[in-house]
Amino acid sequence: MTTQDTIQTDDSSYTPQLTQRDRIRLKKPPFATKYQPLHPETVDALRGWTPPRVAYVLFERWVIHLVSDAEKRKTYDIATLDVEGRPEQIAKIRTLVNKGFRILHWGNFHYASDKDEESQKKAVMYGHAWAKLEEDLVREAEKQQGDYRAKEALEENEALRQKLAAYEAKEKAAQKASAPKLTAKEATN
Amino acid sequence: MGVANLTEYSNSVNYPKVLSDLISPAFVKSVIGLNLLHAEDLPVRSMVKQFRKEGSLTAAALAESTALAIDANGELTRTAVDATVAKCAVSSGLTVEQLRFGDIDLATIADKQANAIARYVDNDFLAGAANLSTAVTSTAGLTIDDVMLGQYNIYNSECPNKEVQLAAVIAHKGFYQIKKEIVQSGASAWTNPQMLAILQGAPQANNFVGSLGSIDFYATSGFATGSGDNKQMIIHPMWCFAGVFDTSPQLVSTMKGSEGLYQEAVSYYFYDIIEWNDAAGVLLNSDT
Repeated sequence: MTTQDTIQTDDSSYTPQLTQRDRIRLKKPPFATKYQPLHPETVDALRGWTPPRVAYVLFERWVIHLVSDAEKRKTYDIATLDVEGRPEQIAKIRTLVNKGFRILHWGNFHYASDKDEESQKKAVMYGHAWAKLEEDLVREAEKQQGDYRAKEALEENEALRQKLAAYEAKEKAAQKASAPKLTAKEATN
Repeated sequence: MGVANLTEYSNSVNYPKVLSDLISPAFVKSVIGLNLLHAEDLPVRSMVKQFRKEGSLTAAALAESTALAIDANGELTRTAVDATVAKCAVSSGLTVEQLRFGDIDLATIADKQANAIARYVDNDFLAGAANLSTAVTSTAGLTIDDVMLGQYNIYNSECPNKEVQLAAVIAHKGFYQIKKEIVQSGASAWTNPQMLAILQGAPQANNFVGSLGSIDFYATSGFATGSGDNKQMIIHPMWCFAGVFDTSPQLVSTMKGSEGLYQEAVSYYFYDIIEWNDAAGVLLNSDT
């Protein structure tokens, strides 16, 4: 990036121009995910979203939008990973998590206990790989949630500390203002 | 009124049906990805291959009689992205009746399984577009300006080997929108052979559909979608994606008895595709 490129932060978040089709889609309720999205742009992306028919993992991820050749804006979107034909992809999922992707949901996995016979056979043929993947996903997602909750708690603590400091400073100033003024003789004594 | 006592077609013993000379191919997509990424063999004795990324140093001016201590400018750091091998597979079964009396044999099934695996690997490559960090979102349909904005960002990120044409891998709808934009543009566009090339050429077997502005266009299907958009991409074919691939799918064939008297054929293939350099690609979102 050159020095003239700037990335706008979320306080002036990027809103692409909406078509009629977008307006219709945005009126629909968002798809309910196992873990709550953190950003309103992600919730918008989940409106009218239909999950794929194959086994998948759904992420929330940040994106730098090129608005023009001199302007970039950071926003959030969803991304899916197809794990139907290759369920042993926890390494790739961890790479995406390290890149800043956040696990929101997963579905259409195959288990030996499924009612569908073909799904059962697939689960057995792949050595119950989807069950193992789900365990890993829960672990990664809980870790992300934990990290997020820890970060939230730290931010809350910091906000409270600042509030307390401001209150104490105000109290001190008020005490100083209300203290009786000494005469010149009393001050020298 | 029907005429009686005629010897009709049904009076004779005839062939029930005769096969045509030509069988039409299945209407499925052809593969595109392997030519647009850096491909290497599977690792030996390991399931992980590290694709390395070179670091760089920074020089600074140094005045006369001035010492220059070792600092961050002089520290060379290489990084790597891991490709972890995993398999994809497809299984089929041929009954003994089919094997004995039908016209689909094990070789045909193995061939079709290999094609299915190739399409699966290709879709995995296309799905990588949705993971790129930088995106251009079209207002409605894909335009040439959107693609060129992606090209600008890749060059602006100082992606090496700028002499290699970038590849815009887009959906058929996006390609149609670009052609429509050219057709609906002013008359001067029609006198430019470069603009015509993308309109005149027929798609090739590898889905190449033409070049425009030093960008090669490939049109295919199988893209991930989201927010009503196809997740397409413009990438540097040498540096954006990389992968490790087995030489060919492996076929395991077993005759089953009590399970149903059929020949089971399972083909599996080890590979992985990773995003090597995020700055060498841009996601293009346009209406599905």
